[in-house]
Amino acid sequence: MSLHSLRNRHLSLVQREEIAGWLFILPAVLGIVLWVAGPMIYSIWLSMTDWDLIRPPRFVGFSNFTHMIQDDLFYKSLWVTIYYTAFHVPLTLILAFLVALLLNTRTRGIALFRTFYYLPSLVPAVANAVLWVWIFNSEFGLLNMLLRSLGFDKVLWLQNPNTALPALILMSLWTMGSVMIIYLAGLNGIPGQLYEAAEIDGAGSMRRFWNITIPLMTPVIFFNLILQIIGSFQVFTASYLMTAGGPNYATTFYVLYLFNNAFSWFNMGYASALAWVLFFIILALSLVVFRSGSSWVYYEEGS
Amino acid sequence: MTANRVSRRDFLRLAGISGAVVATVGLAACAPATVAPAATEQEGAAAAPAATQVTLRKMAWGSPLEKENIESGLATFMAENPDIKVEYIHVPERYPEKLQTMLAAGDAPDVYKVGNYYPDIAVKGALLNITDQVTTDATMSDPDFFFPFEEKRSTVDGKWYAIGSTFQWRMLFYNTAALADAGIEPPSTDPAATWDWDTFLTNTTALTTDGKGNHPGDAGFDVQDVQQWGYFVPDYHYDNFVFSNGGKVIDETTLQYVLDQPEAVNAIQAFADLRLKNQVAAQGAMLQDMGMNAWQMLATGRIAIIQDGNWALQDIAKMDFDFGVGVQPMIKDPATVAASSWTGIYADTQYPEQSWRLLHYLNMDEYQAHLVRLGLWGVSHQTLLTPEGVKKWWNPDVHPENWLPLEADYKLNYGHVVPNVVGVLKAGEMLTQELSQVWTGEMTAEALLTDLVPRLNKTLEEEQAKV
Repeated sequence: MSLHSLRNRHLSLVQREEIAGWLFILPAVLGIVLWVAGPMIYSIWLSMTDWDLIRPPRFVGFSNFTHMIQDDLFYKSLWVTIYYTAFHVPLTLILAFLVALLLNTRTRGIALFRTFYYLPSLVPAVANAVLWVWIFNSEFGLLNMLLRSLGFDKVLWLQNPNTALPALILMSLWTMGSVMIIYLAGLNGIPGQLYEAAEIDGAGSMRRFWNITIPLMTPVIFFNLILQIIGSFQVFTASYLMTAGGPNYATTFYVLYLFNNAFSWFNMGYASALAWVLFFIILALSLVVFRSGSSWVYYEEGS
Repeated sequence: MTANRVSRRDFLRLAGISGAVVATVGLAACAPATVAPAATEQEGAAAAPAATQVTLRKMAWGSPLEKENIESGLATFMAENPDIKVEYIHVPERYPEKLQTMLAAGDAPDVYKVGNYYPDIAVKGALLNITDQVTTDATMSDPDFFFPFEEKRSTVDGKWYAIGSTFQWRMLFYNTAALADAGIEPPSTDPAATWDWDTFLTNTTALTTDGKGNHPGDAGFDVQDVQQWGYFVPDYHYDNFVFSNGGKVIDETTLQYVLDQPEAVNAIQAFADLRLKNQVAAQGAMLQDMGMNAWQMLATGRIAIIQDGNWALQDIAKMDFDFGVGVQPMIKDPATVAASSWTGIYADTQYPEQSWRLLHYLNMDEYQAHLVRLGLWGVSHQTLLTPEGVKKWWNPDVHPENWLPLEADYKLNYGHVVPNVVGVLKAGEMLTQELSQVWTGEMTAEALLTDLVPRLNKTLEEEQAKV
């Protein structure tokens, strides 16, 4: 159906634009309905069944949810994920901000520096994991060699339950480039005349930072905060590839536990229930952050 | 073409269907191999072979080399069986997930490889019960064909749902120069000459040296500065030491974990102490899934001896250094763990008879010998250990001169097979996770296992209750 034929039906301009609009977003809408909303609705049903993927699902009511209350590993994996989030999110946000500030200066070869800092974010997760497994290797790894040259003892980074999770947090900072690049775009968007005006008024560089940069960056910080919280509750790859959730469950992230239930232990019903609980946890956290946003996020046109 | 005349195409279709039906009935009547070909002869005499051809799908994982080998093997099979076309699905990564989604969709391949989840999916009905086929097959039912413990490793509750693809086992690889430098006589491949525990500790102590040339136990020995480690063994090889000490992982009659028995506890502690107390083994975990292993360290002499699967031969033989092979040290008796993946038939396949012919082919000497030649597989047929059998796989470019006793004596006579029990997936995960506290010395083997084993058995019970 061409636009020409639409016109022939004497539709009003608004109607025609509406149809064209829907046509343009149709691929995305279809994608979401078929591949996201459909499976999500199906998983509500699955969360109330016992399904091993081989035999047909059997309805069990809310027993998957009541089982969760007594499941030690549910709490353990939730705790591991919260711990990870509590360190990963602030560290990433601050580090990426500092790097973005540095990379926002006009020096020779700045494009090169920007590329260097962004590059790790482009490394595929698996390659990244392989790289870091070698860095963390207790016997032959780079990190321990460094510690050794400084006179410290070797650390069993990934084998010791006390260091495995901090190691993964440390590693997660390596890919802060994607956060940094959003900051960088935000910093570029701050109008130069604001700084000029402040400078003329005698504001020092610290003053300009706190009174211009930070307030104008709060929407970007807010955006990154939300994305990082959501992303970090869904963290999976590093522990799946590098530690298999170990040692002694130290890196069993919530999503890894969910995945193990679905694909290792044939509990697709329980895994679906876990997924919905995670959904509500993330939803609640996002709501809290959004609520708090009104008190610290500054939108220019809104004021 | 009138309505009451059967067209050639319809005839062929009917012939095909009846062939399949007869084959299915044939399976139920335990005589699959004979019934179906007879059916084709009767009804399809006029039909071209291509018209009655069925297409099977086979799925497996493996290295590029295995893929190549499977494909050439399948080409041979198709040439010998013109009525079967096999489509091969190679899944190098995330195989279990792929298989499970296909099972969930009711669209699993006709013949597929299975990993350690074999007992779980077998009892849940994902695999065809092939007990009758295996036990009535002329070759397979011959007691001189399979290794004696093939039945134990391939049956669940006494029924065959799959057949082991190969029989892998664990052994030693050493750096010849490292041992010669320390004046250590290399380990033998003859189980009768297995190093006892004292010899093992003495030798690996001599092979472990720090930057100043000290050994573990010397006054100035600095464990932080080890230049060459005597030994490397992956964590999950602890069961080897349990068997060697007369213990068991799972009891054959009760099918419960018995790792809290003194033989097992002591063996696991001795295993942990190799790193913690004796300081002769490297701590570094090597993540083999990620292509990370101790082979490079062995080649460069950073580790003198590694304990690994026989399949490591394929890669180690290609590396540029002198290496030797031997049997693992023992606590009381020589022991190794023999295991591998399986291949079975989808329970809902449309072509059980043809699938069985394919599975049968994959389990014959010719196919297996191919992969054994490469140094990747171990044999699981005694027929490949006879002088003529050995000729089919012996490869002087890969196999060291003294390799044969490892296959013919060590694995065959000292190999241990852990019985298939439903629920070991989940219980095994608990075991792996919690044992790490013993490896780091946070807990003793006794303290952990006394507490853990009852919980493992409870998990088995819970998982079995779901079946």
